[in-house]
Amino acid sequence: MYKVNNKPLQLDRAFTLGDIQYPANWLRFSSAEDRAALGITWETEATRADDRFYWNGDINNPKAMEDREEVDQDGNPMYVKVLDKSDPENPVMVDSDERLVTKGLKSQWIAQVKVTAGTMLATTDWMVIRKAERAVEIPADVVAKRAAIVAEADRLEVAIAACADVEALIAVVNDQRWGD
Amino acid sequence: MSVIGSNILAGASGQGGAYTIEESLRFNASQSSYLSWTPASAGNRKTWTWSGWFKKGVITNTGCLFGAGTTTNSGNGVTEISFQADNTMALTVWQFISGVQWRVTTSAIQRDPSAWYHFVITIDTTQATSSNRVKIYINGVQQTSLFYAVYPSQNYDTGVNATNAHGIGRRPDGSNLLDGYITEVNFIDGQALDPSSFGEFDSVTGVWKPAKYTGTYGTNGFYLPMQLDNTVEGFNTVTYIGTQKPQKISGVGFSPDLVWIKSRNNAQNHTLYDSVRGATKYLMSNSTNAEATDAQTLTSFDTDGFSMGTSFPNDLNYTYVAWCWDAGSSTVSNTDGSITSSVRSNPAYGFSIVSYTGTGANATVGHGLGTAPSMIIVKNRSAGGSWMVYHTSIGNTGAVFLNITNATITSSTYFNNTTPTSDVFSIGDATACNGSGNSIVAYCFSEVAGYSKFGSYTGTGASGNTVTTGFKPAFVMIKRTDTTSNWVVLDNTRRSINPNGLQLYPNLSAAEDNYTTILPTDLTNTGFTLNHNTSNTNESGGTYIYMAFKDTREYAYWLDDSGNNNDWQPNGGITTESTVTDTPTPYADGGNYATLNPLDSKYTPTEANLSVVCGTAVPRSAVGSMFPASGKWYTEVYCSSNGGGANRFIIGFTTQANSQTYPVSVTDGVVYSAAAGDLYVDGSLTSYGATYGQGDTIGIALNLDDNEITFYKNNTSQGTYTGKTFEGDGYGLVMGHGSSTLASTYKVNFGQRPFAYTPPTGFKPLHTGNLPDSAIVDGSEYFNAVTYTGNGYPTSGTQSISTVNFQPDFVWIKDRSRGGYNHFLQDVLRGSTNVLRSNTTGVANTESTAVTSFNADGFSLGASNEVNYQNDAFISWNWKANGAGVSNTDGSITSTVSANPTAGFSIVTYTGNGISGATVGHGLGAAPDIYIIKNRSTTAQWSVKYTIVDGSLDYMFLESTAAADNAGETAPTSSVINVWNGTEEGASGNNYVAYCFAEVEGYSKFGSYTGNGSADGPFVYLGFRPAFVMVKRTDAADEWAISDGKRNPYNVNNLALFANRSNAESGSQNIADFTSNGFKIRGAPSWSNTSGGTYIYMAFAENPFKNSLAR
Repeated sequence: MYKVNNKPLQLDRAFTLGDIQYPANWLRFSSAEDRAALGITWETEATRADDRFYWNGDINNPKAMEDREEVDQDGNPMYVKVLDKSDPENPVMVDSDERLVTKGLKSQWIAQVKVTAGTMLATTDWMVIRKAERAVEIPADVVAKRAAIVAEADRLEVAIAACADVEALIAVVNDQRWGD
Repeated sequence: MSVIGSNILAGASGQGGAYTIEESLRFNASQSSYLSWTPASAGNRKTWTWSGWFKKGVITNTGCLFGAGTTTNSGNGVTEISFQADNTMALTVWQFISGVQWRVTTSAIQRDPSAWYHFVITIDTTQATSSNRVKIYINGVQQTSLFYAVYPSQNYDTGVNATNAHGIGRRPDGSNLLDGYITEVNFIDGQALDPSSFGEFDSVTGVWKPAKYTGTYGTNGFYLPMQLDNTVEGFNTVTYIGTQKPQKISGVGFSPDLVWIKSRNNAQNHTLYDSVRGATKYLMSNSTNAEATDAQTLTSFDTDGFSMGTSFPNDLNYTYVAWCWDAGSSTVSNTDGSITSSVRSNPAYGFSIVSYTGTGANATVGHGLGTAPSMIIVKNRSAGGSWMVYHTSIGNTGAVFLNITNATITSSTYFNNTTPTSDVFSIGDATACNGSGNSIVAYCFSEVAGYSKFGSYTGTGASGNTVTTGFKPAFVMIKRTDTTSNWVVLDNTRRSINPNGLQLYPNLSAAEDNYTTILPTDLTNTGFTLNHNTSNTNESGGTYIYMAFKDTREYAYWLDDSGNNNDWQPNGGITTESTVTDTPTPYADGGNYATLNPLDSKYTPTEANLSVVCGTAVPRSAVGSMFPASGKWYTEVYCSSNGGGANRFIIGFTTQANSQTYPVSVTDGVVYSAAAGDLYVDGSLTSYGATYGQGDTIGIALNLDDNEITFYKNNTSQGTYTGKTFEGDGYGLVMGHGSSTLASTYKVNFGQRPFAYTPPTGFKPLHTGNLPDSAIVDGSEYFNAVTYTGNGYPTSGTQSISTVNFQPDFVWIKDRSRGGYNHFLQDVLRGSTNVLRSNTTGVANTESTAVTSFNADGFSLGASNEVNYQNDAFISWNWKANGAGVSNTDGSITSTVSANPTAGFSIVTYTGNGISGATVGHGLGAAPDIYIIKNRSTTAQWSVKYTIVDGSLDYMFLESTAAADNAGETAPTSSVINVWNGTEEGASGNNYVAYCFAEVEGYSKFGSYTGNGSADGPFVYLGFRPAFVMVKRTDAADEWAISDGKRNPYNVNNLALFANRSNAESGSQNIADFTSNGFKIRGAPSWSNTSGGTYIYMAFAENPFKNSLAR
């Protein structure tokens, strides 16, 4: 991307440098010399790291894998705060008994796997209900597909729980096998 | 090779105006619509780029945008760009050969049906880095967050560009039909290009938009603009599907004078109509019958086509072809012959229609062409009799007959053994051409070099019998003259690629025969080549005559416009009528059209969201995707089926808030009920017009500017209703089904197809090109969210955040990655270092190392652990008010106000006076819909007050989960808010800040919705694509949940932060999809979607709906 004073400039958008406004097509049609004269440089954009695993797309800033019980800067445990209105004139936030926990990637992805499996199973849940209520058999291919979904969810949950780092987690997440 | 900016874009910024896409092709999965093509030779199977614009139809449809290969278990397998078939519905490109070979699927889910997406798929398997071998771009942005990322091996040969079948709209193996709209498809063989070759960011709105690709295509490259040529000369062919309802057939490219229609998929008579005899009068080429009249057959000749009534040939789901000729603009009397004739002639294209009255004796008839006709087709209108055909290759001594198979029959009674001249043709005394007192019509064709040809050839009985016309034929009709045979018609619209062989027979009512394999004929650039042996067209030694007309279309939805002539074949339900003016570029005659909105309808729309079956399930409604608040709009709804029972159709307009309400019960709207012809106005019955039912077309003219609504039954006004005041957020189409166990089926037309009836003057079709411009076209100029990574505590690092793009006046920051750290709120009136925290009741205090200054393009940060903790991820939400405040004396308390009426936002500081009912000026000029007050001097709750649920002033507290209560106070006015004398708002001597928000159409919206407890949650229409949404349950205790488009740049949004909590960001629960026109709840956490729960929301825009792309 083009940058000036370390600030990105977007193609096809007008911009101002000093007191001069440059039109939207200026970057597209200016020469390298024109841009250099204004201090505009070109920086090849690093491919943005996957925001699901890295903070702000920064490959050097992975999200935490494990759940974390938060502590303050002095190392004291932090708790979920609740409103205390026992003194109506002085309502304050006070600590509850619940530890403040920030969920790590493993917890979040296991939850996501459950959502995916649940959503996929939901399309044939009616067949299960129909069988329970009216003894209508579930087609064999549906039975097999549901079993495969459950098995894949189980496999993924185990695999996610076993991941040692973000790279391992990405490998697991990118190789989900929910079927075609 | 990725070539940023190497292909100069026509229409790009600064190159002479916007690039407009005028049409798209509608793929109707229920009609098996698709395009197909097989490359003649293999192209580059390792490196290619596919670019196309797509608007989603059925939400759950996972159809094929582009694919290649017919065999999933061997050979090249199947390569496909489609949508993931599991729960994700995400864009995916994959290769399948006896199992998935590789697959790349975006994490972004594409289920926004109300606007257009731009997809670019770039394949380059030569790349050493696997992730560079497959790249997916959506709306100009590369997708790096991928659900699947299993890449092809290096130098993998994809199935694309092999010499196997390719498909658009269906996988070539016959599966995965697509439902939606596609346009502007570019396929580049041999280059891996990024989106900058096909689009650009709009310099005003910042929205990605199409640009004309001007690079090279490679051997198998193609460009399908998916549009019709609207200025065709002389002859054209169109196709359509019968609806048994009035419909306009457009796309002819001129006003036709002779229309010859034939059903393709059913045995049905050929019918011929012409403008001299007049609409509704037809002759049948396969019959000797005299002219017949039917008021519900072809009802008019129109500028760009013709109109059909409810009768034959417009039978439901019959497919039709119509061959159309242009005979000029006026019918005149002609006295060149011994019989005076009425002539409508087009000498430039060698065609005239001649009407005369027979005398029963040899005569001459003027034809008006100025050159001698080469072919004349004559029919007695008054009496039964054969269709007599003169052809120059037969000569003047005999004739063949269009309705029968006979060889040439010689008789002087036909054309009087006299060759036509430049002025007249001669007729004998045969009744067929000259019955005394009979009305006769003659279609006269003279040869125009390079455009039409009337000749003969001798059959060879073998392949390669080439007939040269000197042009690419669009239509060829052949008749063997030395023995009995059928007449045969081929054209290049029903079959756009070679080999042709879709035969129709003018002398037979039979359906179309597909003889592309057993009787192949190629229509070439210079004529046609018969590659078969059959009596009708190419038996050895046989004598044949033909007529042929040039294809004068410059483009069509199947025509490759890249210059490579890699033309595609339309199949299934793809007809001329599949081209619609629904496009990603708003312009005077088109744009992004309203459709039915599956996100907001009880019933699932089909047919690219233009059809729906409504039953009795609650809430019984289907609604449109646009809710304009002003203007004059016309929409048509065809009542397709009553399910075999009584007519229980209900059609009207209502607010989006009523979208889940039984239509006759809507509290704000007008609906027209079929059963008794009554209106229901805001839920109350009013006697109105006629009953209506199955087969009727209901036009609705909604005049929001003058508070009028008129319903038309089959073009007959039922009266203009003026008893309703249309006000508020806007009104959209609603349909439903009355109290019956059956169902009502509707077909909707917002104008993307020609209306069946002409709209009343001044009423427009509902598309973005006709929506008013919003005062704010780029929301990021007034609200912007930015993310950054901390570089301070425990170090002394500081930084400036310079991507806000304006000087913020109100900054709200939250640590995303670390729990226990507060929301930080700073504003220009308190000063950048003065901090309030939304999740606490604490007083304002100075933090000298937090936000240290507001800058022209953002703000600066000190090393504070709360806003700049090293390596922590932060979000900053920024609003633009109006800089340093000014004194405001509108209220009983003088305030300081930084007000931005354009954006409906002001920051107000004041000192309480302890008087309940005191007023404070806010400077907006419009009554705030919601305002937030905080005592800066002492601990106190954040007072949030709003009128958006029921109009009365309610309140909650921002740091608290507590439910709402009625404030019992006076609602704010356009100049002041009322404050009570409690600590939260007006304690004497305490200092306060208030943030006031008033809705700005297309930029901000504050409202309420009711939860349903389902992952298929409520849809909220905003009229813009949101950048920020905060929701709070009002009828029970729950969180203030914030989601935004910066932390979640794609759907589904699942990253919640809570204004009342210091928790870190959590991504384990789906929240909502942001869409081009609102948001759709996609999860059921209690804080956003408990069944029956009432929620309020605050939303700010990226862009108004008018300019937005799908998300």
